[in-house]
Amino acid sequence: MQISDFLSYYFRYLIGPLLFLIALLLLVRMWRILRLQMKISARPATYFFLLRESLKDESFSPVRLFHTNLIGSSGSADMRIRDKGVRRRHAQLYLYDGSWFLEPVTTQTLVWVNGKQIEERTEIVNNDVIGLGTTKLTLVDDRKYLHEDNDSSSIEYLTSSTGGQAFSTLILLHAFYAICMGLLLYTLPEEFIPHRGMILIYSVIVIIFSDLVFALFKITLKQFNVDIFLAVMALYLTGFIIQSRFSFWDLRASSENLESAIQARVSGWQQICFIILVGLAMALILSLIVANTRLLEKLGTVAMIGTTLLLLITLIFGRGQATHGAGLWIYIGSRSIQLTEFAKVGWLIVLASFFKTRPPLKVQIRFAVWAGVNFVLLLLLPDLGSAMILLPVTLIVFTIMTSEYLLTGLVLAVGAGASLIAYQSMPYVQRRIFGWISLWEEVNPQNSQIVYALQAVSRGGAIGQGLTRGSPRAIPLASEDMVFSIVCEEMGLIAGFAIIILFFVIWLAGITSVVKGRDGFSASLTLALTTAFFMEAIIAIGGTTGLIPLTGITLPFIAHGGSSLLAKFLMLGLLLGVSARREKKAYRKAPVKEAEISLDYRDDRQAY
Amino acid sequence: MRQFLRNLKMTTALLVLFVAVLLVALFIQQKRSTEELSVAAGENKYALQQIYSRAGSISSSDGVVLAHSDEGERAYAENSELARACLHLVGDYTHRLPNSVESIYMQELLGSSRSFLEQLNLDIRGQGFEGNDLVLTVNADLMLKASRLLKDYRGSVVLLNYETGDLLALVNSPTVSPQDVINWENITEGTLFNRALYGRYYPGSTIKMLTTAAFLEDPDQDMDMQVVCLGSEEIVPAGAKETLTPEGHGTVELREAFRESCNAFFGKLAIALGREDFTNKAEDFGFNKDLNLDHFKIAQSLLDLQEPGQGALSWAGVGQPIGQDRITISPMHLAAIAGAIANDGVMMKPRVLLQEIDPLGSVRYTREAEDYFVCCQPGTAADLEELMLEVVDSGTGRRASRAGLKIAGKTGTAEMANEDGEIVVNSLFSGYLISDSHPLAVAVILEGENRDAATVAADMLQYAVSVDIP
Repeated sequence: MQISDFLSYYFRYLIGPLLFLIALLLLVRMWRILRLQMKISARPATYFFLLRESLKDESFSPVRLFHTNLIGSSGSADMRIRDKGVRRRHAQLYLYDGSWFLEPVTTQTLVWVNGKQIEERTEIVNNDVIGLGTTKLTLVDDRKYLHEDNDSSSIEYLTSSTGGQAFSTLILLHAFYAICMGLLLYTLPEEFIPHRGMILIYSVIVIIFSDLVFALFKITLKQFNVDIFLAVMALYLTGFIIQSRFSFWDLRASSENLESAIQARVSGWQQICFIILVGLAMALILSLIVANTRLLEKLGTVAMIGTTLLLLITLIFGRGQATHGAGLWIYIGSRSIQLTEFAKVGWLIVLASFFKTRPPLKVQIRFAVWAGVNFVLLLLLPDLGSAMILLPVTLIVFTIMTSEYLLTGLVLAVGAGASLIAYQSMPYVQRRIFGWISLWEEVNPQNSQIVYALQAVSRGGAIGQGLTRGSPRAIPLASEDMVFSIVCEEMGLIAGFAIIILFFVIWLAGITSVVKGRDGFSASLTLALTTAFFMEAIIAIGGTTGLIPLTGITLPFIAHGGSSLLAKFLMLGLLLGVSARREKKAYRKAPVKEAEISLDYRDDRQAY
Repeated sequence: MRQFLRNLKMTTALLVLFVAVLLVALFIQQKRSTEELSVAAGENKYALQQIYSRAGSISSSDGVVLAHSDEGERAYAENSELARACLHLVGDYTHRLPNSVESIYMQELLGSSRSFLEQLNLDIRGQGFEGNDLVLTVNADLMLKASRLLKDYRGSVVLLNYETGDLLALVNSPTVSPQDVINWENITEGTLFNRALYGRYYPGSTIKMLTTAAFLEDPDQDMDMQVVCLGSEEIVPAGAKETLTPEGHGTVELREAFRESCNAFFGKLAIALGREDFTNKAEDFGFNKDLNLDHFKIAQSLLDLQEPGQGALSWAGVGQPIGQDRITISPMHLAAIAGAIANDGVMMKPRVLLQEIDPLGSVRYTREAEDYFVCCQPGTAADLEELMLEVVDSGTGRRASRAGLKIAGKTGTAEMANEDGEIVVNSLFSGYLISDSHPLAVAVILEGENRDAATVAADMLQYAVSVDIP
């Protein structure tokens, strides 16, 4: 037995469990933070409240405000007003970009501000009187009592108490990377030995650059979501390790073109390094722009047109049916790019800009029409994978932001009907479903890939066969669509579990920043992005392991594919930026007009 | 805000549940794949070569290595004749023969059937890379002899120890070398087919053992029943008749009819028994049941009498199905039936795996002799034995008679269509040796126009005794 084989074999006891430990630490930490944040957010907004005027005795009583308040007679309203002239869901009062806005829920509801009836979103400032039915509410801005150092409602306070845990996770992650890359470098196949120095340098650059970007994030973003970054870092480093393993092993070339084959592998690997570096830099810049400007909100229409355009271009110019079953690749010279990956991001931005608040039915219908058209385009490509991700993401964001349970149920029913029609009309879908159903009965061309992938998963056992000791040759497209099975074969089921948990951590971390009660757009975009990551991962994993019919989605950050990786870093930048947004104006100590009503409301605030 | 938070909480709870289900599902999926997907058609040969590079060895009970891995290469029996003889049983690493030891016992050979702690223990001792070694019950010497006897025929030989159920030899002809299978060369029609386990042959007159057993155990039957055999004349319209002795046997009773394999008598017997009694007895002997040879599945032997009328029933009584009737048997099952009669009516569980040994040399599994099922009463078995001895002594199985050996048996011939659709006459022999030191049961099925099955079977038994196996 060769020493390299020996090492790879024994390190399996370390590699899979270490990745699992990292995932677990992040999960536990994130879970605690989320629960605390949930508790804090259930509390009302500090420094603002309403004064409700009683008609009977002309006395005032304070009413607490949340970041988003539904006012109405319904029991589920945040502010319940039993009044003849108030509908079940009457108006929304919310904090957006540091200011309070009031918006009637429908055009039929009557809302007055300072005696004037309003029909659309209106900014409310200190001492403005809101009239609903016979009820009068006065907004009180209490920021003159703000103490900058006492802003304990923000998550920074929490993260500082668990900061040590994040640091130890980062250290473990470095250990994981060092062990894996060290092992790969040590056991490098003979053909690549001349490149060993270069590989070492590039690997070190990747990790150092990651640390640098991490530090820069921490410095430049005030509310940097450390956990999202750590989870993503664990994922793309795992991906990088697995892709390095694919790059340097199992080289099969005849002696005359050995040199060019080696060169091709090496440059392919360098390209992966390059994409990671560019992706990280891009994410950093993007997040800074998103966090500090409101540019993204203005891009709603652009994203609407852009998404459709990208899909149309792919439909017309897309190639690649022969190799991948769907023509999603656009060739520019010798390079190929998958525009649908970017169309997905566009979709998410559109989604967020529509559902930043509960939009009136007319707007909802406008979105439904746009979404329907693009959905049909996706099915025509056919990019069922993206369709399968975007549908649940849209539904989840829609449900959470609007609480339209009935409508969600309806859309689900329509979706089920549509998928039945798709099944009937598209032989391509039928083949896939057939392959999936017959998975345990027979091996056929429709399911052989999953069968081979499952064989690999089964060979891996709990902790794997050891890095580089698997047999990716057994599975077509092992480094792309089926990468999860190779991770399981070489690092074990435990590493597979770790990957699922890491994606869930991203979701929880995203939710934590949503819970903080920020403005509607940031909340819905964060929700959309983080749900998209999660869904994509789950569907990819479910597909490669035969739990759901395979759709050819690649596992984010781990699967091979430049466009996909770049798009994922783009999403990461957006996510980190939008979740790091600060309620700037709202919590800045600003000169405000003296309240005319003299009441010691500070004592009331204590009572909440 | 309250509603928004509630939505978030609900979604989070849902996703937690979702993740939990996914993790459990993944775990189950892995378990299930290990059990059901170890072999799949169209697997990559090079990947398999790599996977098997550390697999354990397979050897015969007499210590001859039939397959082993060395320097990353999987090699098969050194003696090329033996390698060919063992092909259908041992198989090859490319999984072209999905029902072979290499495929069915893949998890054991690779060591992936071990528990985590077992593997950890082996790894600590530095022996964890190797798979487990398997020792089969078959004897290399007997395998070679069987393959030599089969050289000029198409067919199978199965030799069992009827007291333990151990499979001693299982050889099919035609066959090729494992290397040819790996390279996918020189493969001709039918060479990869394991007839002994998966062949579905008409049993012909060998079924008369079962008809007789049913007759002997039926209190309503007259043991002195006599039938007038008119040879080529059908006993009932469209019923059984003699094909080999057109002149007929005259008036016969059981003893003479069994000795001469009289179709008229057994046709009448089947009619007297009725479909139900006949089928029930056959099921006692393992028909219409899923039979296993350790992890191997044996082709189910069928006795499904659908064709109406006495004619069809009489044909069924002589093992020749017509119309809708289906009567088939595999050589392996035929040998097991002979073994059951020899073993006082108790069929032993057939075994092919003798031992599984881990890299440290400790034995993880040893086969233990186990009763499979009771086929008939001991008295019936004794009566049958007497009849079968006479078959070899002075009846249709005279070719199996060997000086100094007490061989009991039953011959059979059956017309059936082969893989190409041509009608061929197969010759069958099912028998055993009455000996305390050599409890051997044998079944031979040869395809094509010959009557050599009895000769091959007796040669096989004689050879086993001469080399003192078992």
